[in-house]
Amino acid sequence: MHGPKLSHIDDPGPLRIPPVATMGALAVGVLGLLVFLIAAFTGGEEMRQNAWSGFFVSYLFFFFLAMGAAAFLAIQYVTGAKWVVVLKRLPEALTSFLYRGGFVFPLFALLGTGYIYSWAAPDATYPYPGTVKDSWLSPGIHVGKVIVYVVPLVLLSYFLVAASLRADKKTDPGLRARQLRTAIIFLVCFGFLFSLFSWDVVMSVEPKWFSTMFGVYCFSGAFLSAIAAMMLLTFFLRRHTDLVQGRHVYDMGTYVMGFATFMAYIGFSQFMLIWYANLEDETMFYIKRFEGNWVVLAVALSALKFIIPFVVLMPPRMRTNLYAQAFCCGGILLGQLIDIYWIVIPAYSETLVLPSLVNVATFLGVAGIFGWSTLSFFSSHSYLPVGDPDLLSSVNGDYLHA
Amino acid sequence: MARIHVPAVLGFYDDADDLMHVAEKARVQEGFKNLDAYSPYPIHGMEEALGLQRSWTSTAARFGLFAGAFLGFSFQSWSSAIDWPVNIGGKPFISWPAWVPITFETGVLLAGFCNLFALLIACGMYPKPKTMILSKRITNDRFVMVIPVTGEEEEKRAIAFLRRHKTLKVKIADRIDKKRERVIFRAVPVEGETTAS
Repeated sequence: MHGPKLSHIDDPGPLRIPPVATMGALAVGVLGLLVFLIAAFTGGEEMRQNAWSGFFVSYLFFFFLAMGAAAFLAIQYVTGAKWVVVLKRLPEALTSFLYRGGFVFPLFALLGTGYIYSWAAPDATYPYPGTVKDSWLSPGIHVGKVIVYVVPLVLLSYFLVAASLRADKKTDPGLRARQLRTAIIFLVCFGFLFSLFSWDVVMSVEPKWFSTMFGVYCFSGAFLSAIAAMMLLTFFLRRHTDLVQGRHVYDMGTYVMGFATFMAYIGFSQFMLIWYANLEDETMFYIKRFEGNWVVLAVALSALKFIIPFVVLMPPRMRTNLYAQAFCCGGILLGQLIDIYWIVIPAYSETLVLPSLVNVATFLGVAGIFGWSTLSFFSSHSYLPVGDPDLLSSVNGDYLHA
Repeated sequence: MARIHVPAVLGFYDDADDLMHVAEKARVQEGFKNLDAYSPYPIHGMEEALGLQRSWTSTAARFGLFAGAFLGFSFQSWSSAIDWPVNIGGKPFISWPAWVPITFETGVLLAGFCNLFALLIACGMYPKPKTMILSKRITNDRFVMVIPVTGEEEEKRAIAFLRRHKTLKVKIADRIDKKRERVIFRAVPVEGETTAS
């Protein structure tokens, strides 16, 4: 920490990731998705419904994670944060899923609209006939909505990552300002579009229910899972370079604990207001999700996403401890998956159902594509952002007493 | 500015990095004990460089947190279930989810107060603030390294050590005038001479 200050950092080049790992992830992805396609298009009615809902949950988990990482990256640009620069490739790698195939999933899910949403079934009885909601929740408009929400977000996150990668190749004095502008535009669009995406794509599985906090609820889950994934990757990156130091790990670990608390704050605020007002249309969402053994998942996700990380990471030395962080961040990722499952699946079943084998294969399929995009990002780009003018400041710790 | 160990050799710097560097060397290489430092603003990593123990203020804050949360929760239970039970929307009298925000707030409030007063006591600012000042420029642009010494031999060693490390100025805090709450300085012996007794 008080070692000699570096004045130049060489380009370390990409990580050496064995091609068998990258290709293996891709193979798992293709096989898993193949199982899903067979089940979704050749199975019986019940199997199709199960396959599509499993696909919905799986892609939401990874899509949200990558979106959270893109938002993290944009926030670092807008705030001019320097501590994070040495770790900047981690959110970029997670974001790369969005434009390396991730954007296909929400668009592909449009084919299963009739199975995922009760309002889109051919014989659907609309929750409020003759209202605006009646026409807003219709399959035709849904296609347009998803395209309008997903395409700009994916394009902007691509620009965000591409600008940073371009800086490695050649220095460009105007780059900083352009990155900042992209990040600002991204965050403004993200605020609107991600909320609308949450409402129209996720919340409408319960067409009668509504919560104005649902957008920020989804955001907090997405952001927390992205930070947990980045924390795990920080330890991975630290094995390759000693430029990632204890204080970077500590700051990231504090981020994990902070946003676990944020998640609890948002989740509890949404729950308590609905519980207190006790209006029929609002409360039935939670009643459905607390009865028929679904409460097991509700307790599990609040333990995994808030209580365990909050208690375990309370002492400062635990925030840099590999085992404590692996336990907490693994738990947070599992909790986020349980959270999405707990939001979506009770719409189709009154009692607790566990994922079927097809669902597991589908999840592994999307996970394979996600793993492939992350690994191939690391094996095709330098793992330090050598083109970033703040890299030296991040490594030397100049920002600490500036 | 309390608890200045006297006599002590003081080294003045105009850069935080120099101070940190010297503190680490004085502790690790030279083995000086009970080191202290003064600066206009908090310096990251200074506790490690000085080898300071973890302060007890966080324990006080934790005590305040649990006490506040417990008191807040108990007061709400008492007021709405025992002293004046009111049926609100058919909910049980002790319906805890509604009390989480207030329990949290009282917990944070008491933790904050305990932390504040623990800090003031630990710094010797409470109940009576002390105003012993080593140099007026400490609140502006000077960084001071304090090496408490016992005996002439250690004092000479400390002075020689500080002179080797681009110290702007070396001073000796000799004793404290308790009545006027002032630090009395003593002239630094010129190199090569022995300290005047």
